[in-house]
This record gives sequence, C-alpha cells and structure tokens, in this order.
Amino acid sequence: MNNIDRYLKIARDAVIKPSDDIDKKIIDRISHIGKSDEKLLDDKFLDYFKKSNSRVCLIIEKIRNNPGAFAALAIAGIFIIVFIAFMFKIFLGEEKTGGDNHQLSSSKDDTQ
Amino acid sequence: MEKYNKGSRPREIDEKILIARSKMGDKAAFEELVRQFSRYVYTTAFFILRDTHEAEDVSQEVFVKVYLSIKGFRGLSSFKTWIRKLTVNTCIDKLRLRSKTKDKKVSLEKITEEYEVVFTRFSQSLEKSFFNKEMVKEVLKIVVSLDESYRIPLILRDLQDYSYREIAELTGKPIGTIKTNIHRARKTIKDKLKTYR
Repeated sequence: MNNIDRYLKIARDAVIKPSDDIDKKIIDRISHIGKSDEKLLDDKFLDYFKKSNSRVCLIIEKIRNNPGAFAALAIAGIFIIVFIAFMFKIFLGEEKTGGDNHQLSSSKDDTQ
Repeated sequence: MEKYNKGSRPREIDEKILIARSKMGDKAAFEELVRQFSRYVYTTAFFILRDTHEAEDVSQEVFVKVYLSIKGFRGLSSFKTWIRKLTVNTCIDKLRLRSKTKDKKVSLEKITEEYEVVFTRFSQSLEKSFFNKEMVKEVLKIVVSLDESYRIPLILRDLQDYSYREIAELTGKPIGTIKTNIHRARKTIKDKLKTYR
C-alpha cells in the first residue's frame, strides 16, 4: 500500500487541463453577475461561511477531527501542571525546613 | 490587470495581497485569484462529478460565491482550504441532486478520454519522475473509474485531506463504512496497478 500512498500524495499536485479556457469562462461569468446569482448564497453556504469565519468553530472542528491528538495534548498538559505543582511544593517544603533549621541554629546561638 | 501578470510565476504573487485587493473591489486582483485557483477547483470538481460540463458549472458557481462573499472572508483558514471546502460542498450537493434526477451510469471510456493530467510541481529526477507521472496518471484513471461510494471517500481522504468524521458527515454514512470503503478503494487500485505493470 506504501506505493499507492506515495502516488496519491503526488496526485495532490496534479491538475486536469480543462478542454476550454475555464479562466475566461469564469471571468465572463463574474462580469455578468446579477441579482439572481445572490440566490447561490443559500443557507447552507451561509452556514459554512459563518463557520469558516469563526475562530471558535475552527478550533472545535480541529478538536473533533483529531480527538486523540488533543486528548494526548491535554493529558500532557495536566502532567506538566502536576509536575510543576509537585516541584513547587518540594521547593516550598525545603525552604520551610531550611528556615526552621536556620531558626533553630539562631536560637542555639542566642542560648550560647 | 498587467501589474499582476508581470512575473513568470503567478504563484509567487502574494495570495493575501490579492485577497485584500479583491475585498476592496479590485476586479483585476480577483481575476488573478481565478487564474491561480481555477484549475484546482475544476480538478476537484471533475474527480468528484466525473463530468467536464458539470465540473465547469461548479467552477463558475464556486467563483461566483467567492466573488459575492469575499468581503466577509476573514482569512482564518487559507484561501485554498476555504475554496476547496466550498467546491466539495457544491459538488456533493450536485451529486445528491443528480442521484435524484439522473441515471448514475457514466461511460468510463468517455471520461478517460476527456481529460489530460498535468503536474503543478514535480521535483525528482527526470527518468524517475516520468515513471511516477505515468503511474500517478494511471492511479487517477483508476480512481475516476471507481464506484461513487468508493471514489468520493478516497478523493476526500487522500487528495483533499478530509478527516474520516468530515467525510462521514458529508456523505451521510457511518465512519466505519467510510474506512472500509477507502480501504477497499486502495486495494482495488493496488490490484489494478498489478495488471498495469
């Protein structure tokens, strides 16, 4: 199947040569746009247009298309947060015990 | 119009500038966008619909839609992605309409005679690239000849980068069926290529 995948990947860069001058036809069509053409912007199109212009919709779409990747990312994020919190706790603990030791040694100095 | 045609490679012209100018109503800029993307839109439409006239109609319809709505395009996705999805949506609508009104049978010999495949970029040694080009053309010929239930999911997945979920939503079929059909389509291509070699 590897070869098929490779050929299909190359095929993405392939285009069909239209028999007639398609550019000219499209440009001609655009030059003669009338009121009736606005019907083409139907509800379906407007829905797509709205979604493609909304950052939130695009992000949701990306998450829905790659749920596994986003779950992995979320889990990794949680792990990082837990790790940072853990390190912070250790650091604070050390600081506290360090402070206590310092206090103890200073009180010893006072008695002397 | 000439200011956009001076370079030998129109692709180099910044797409964003063309879009920005088109938004301001610069018709020459929009025409340049048409020149840059018309073949891409036409190709996508042809592979889905397998009909040159319908592919032309869809190409025109897509660009009319783009022309009428480009002022509101925010550019959150690339223009190519935007126009690609618009083309696919329009084609799927046409297919639905066709399945209700027309006979689905199309002469495959006629289809393969009707088009010529060209490559937009191909960076490999000449000898190797010639072989690959011929193989790709053969693969595309097989893809075009596939039944609609195999062809559409395969095109959307492998040529248009759609997710399985998106294909399932567009075609109204379960994801499992889509995966199976794509697998079968690839297998068919593989088997047919063996006989080609």
